[in-house]
Amino acid sequence: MVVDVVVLTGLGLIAAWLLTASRQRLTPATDDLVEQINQKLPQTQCAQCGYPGCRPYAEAIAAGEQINKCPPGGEATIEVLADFLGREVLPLDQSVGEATPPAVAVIREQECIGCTLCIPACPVDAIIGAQGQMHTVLDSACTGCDLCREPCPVDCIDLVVQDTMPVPVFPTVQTPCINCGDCAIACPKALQPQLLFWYRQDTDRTRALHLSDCIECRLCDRVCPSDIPLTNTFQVTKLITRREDDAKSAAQVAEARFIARESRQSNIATRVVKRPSANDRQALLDSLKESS
Amino acid sequence: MPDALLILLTTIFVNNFVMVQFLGLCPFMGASQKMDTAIGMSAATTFVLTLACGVSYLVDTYLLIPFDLQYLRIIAFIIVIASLVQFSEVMMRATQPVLHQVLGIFVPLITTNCAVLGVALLNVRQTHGLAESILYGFGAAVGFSGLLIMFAAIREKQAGADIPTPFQGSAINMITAGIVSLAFMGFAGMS
Repeated sequence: MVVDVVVLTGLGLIAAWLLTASRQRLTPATDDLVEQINQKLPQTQCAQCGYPGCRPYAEAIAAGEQINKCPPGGEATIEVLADFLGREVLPLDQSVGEATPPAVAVIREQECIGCTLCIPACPVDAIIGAQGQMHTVLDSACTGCDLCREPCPVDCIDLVVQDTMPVPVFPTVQTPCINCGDCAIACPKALQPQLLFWYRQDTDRTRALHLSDCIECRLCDRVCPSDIPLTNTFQVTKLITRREDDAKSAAQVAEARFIARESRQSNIATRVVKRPSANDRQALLDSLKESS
Repeated sequence: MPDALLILLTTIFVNNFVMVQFLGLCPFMGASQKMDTAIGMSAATTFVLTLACGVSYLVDTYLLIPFDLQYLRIIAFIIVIASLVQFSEVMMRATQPVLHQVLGIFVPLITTNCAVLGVALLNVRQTHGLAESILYGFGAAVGFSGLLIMFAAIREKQAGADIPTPFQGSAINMITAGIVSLAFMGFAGMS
């Protein structure tokens, strides 16, 4: 009896030890966490948080840094991060800057003197131009980080706030959904309008329920005994989903450009180090002369 | 090695674990909807089954039998297999990120799959050595994989077929699985 208990406990303990030890030593679990935090940041690479980009800040957050240092993300990002990390929602840290609305930098091209000082300042390589030539900003790549304005000697760069599109409002519902399921039968695309309606605020759920397949035929509106404007609700949800997707893909593009720039710079740095300087060459020649 | 060949043939065809012993039906039905998932699942199962068979044999021979504790086999095997699979998943993530991307989501799924436990239990009941045990697990996994991929192919074909309404969904899958099982019964004559 005792042997049984000992053997089984021993097995369990060995297994537990093996797992915890391996997990501690091997798992790049923090990488996963950093990756996920990074995806929630706006990827403007503006460095206002005090870190040289969004990923370094994500790494710092994973290591315990405060989550309220991202002005471009504003309250929304803080809430998302607090929810994801199970931390408290904090007001934006005013010392790093005010929350800024989405903007793009625009160069007043008549005034640009072609000094190229702004080009290396851009974290996402969004400024093109050459010495003595007019520069311009690729507005599709610009994250509005404000880093190019400071080095400009003639102050010809403006941050133009983009028109924020109004937040779409869901149509009012007079009578609540009774879950009769008539709409599900009516739907020609075999969707579940009652579930789509119930989860209308939750774009992850509606995505999983294939809201994008909805052809907005309004057959569900017609059969709904509560007269819920289902199709209009779905249109709003679709709009919100589309905006989320756009923001996400823009963030991905910005991050990709930032990574490309980083790797190019480190590449240049290593090559410059490798190249022998004039002093090195002279020293080499001297040593050869001495030995001969 | 005619013995090794015999073990392989037996486990793949004659005693196919899904269609003759009816083990591991849940991943068989669940992961056979698409070819990609089926292939990923097959590879993960092959990995886990081969490993589990070898290790459970070691635990049985060197721990349970010396202390006369064969009645603890189920619990002991579950502990060993589950932790081993988790361990190998961690190892895989750290050392083989590409492999982890392919198999990652499937490996924990089959941790305590009935086929894995069943094969380990059936294995120790026979008088196998370590190499034979590993071969037994590998054969069982190959049988499972072949069947899963075959069934996924059938189901992909089925998706475009005109199936009568009462047979749609799981009904036709069950019927198909039954017919495949009948076909595997034919191998029983080989033993």
